[in-house]
Amino acid sequence: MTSIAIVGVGETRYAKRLGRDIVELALEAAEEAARDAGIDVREIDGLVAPWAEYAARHELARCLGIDGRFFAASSLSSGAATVSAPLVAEWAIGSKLASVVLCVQAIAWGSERAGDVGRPHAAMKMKAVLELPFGWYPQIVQFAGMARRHMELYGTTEDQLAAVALAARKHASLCENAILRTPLTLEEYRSAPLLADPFRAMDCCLVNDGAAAFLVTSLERARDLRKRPVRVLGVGQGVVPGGEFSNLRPDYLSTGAVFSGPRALARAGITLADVDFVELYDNFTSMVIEQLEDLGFCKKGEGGPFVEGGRIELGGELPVNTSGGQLAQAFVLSANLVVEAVRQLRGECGPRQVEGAEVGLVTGYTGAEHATLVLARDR
Amino acid sequence: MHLPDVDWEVTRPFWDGCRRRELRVPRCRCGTYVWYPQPRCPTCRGREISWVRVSGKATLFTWTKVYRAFLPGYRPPFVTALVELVEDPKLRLATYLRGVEDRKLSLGLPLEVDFEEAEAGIVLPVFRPAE
Ligand SMILES: [Zn+2]
Repeated sequence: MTSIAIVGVGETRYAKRLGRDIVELALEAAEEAARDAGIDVREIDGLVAPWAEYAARHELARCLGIDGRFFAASSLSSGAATVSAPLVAEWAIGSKLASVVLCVQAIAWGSERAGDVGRPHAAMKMKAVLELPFGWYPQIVQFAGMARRHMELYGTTEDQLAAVALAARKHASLCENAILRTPLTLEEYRSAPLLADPFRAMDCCLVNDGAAAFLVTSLERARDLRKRPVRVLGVGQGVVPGGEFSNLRPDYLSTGAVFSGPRALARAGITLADVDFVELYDNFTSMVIEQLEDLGFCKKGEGGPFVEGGRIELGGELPVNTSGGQLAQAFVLSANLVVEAVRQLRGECGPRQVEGAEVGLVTGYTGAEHATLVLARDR
Repeated sequence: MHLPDVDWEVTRPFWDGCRRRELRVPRCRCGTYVWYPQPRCPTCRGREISWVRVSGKATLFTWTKVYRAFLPGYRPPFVTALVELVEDPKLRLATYLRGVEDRKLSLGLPLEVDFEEAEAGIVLPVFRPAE
């Protein structure tokens, strides 16, 4: 168990396009998190802001009034970095490099990337030379390839992918700050056009603008603050071989969750049976199924049947992505997933509250990297 | 459509080979295939890596049929795939599948390489069902 806690969370409004700069978005989420915690933003002295390049990070620090005296670090990248941020915060706090660490992700892909989905791949020379000329791009195509092999090997069905999408949309309909608030029916899912077989639009995460943030400090300090602290029980990291080239992975259908999950649970001193709900990095529906397997909620290949029959919906055995996740609430590189988990553990979720939520598990993913975070209500 | 930079020195022997209708991949002196190309062998850390010709026989590892043009210049629908060369399962190539009916697509389908001229001097390796 760690001796740190999450004490404040904040989000901007999520929308397809907000027309605002990412530093402005990050700042708004950070200020909201500080207000939520009852901490002056100028007390922040640690930053985990993996989206922010050098200049943007310093601009954010200047706007927060912490210019010139902050610590900044990140252990992993993108979504994995968000979820492993409490581990970095723990190191920083334990070594007295910082006392209040701000973790923030800001995205303006809705404004910036319309019609330009291939750019990040085209920018990598090896992909540009050995993958793009064969149409093996962008993310949707590569993940469709994984989903297809999962279906062929294990008998996973389109209706099982649909079950993940339907649960996300049902949960988002109960979340005020969600982009896709209309529930989805199986008929609507089945009749939507295929984009890259087996994926339809509702199998893919949103492309939007917005930011989400959370503050981490020592448990001791946390207990003197405004809201009931949410304890960080454990964080685990995992990396699989293959790096940025998912098609080269020896274990093509496993994520780094096979390593990060057990590490986080061991650190937390709990088992999966203690987990009341999960917030999983859902860039595509099939990734929810894969991570349920990799984390050990079911055996490899049994994730399809696992998500059937409402088991992952609110009221089911294991509610998954209770705000609608990145498929239906917003895509913020897992930061919205952490914020949602904290709110669930504080009992602040109103109509989508998981009854008696004591322990939640959150994951973040990026290419080869994976992180798992176990959070709990402070007693 | 996105054409490869066939002059990039790291992968140039691959594309030179395709122009001669040969599939070539890097192999270390210790026998390890080094794919994608990289400056050190992952097995022995050696740097004596040379390009060798392989049979062009493969099996289907996975695929997706793409219905939408995600970047300009591609003409969907097409089937893009990963194939495993028979020499070593680590030799997994992204490629186009040609000449396979949708209902015949299945894991492990035996394939062989074919070459298509995309533009003068640029030849793409694609795969078809083995004879
Ligand atoms: Zn070697």
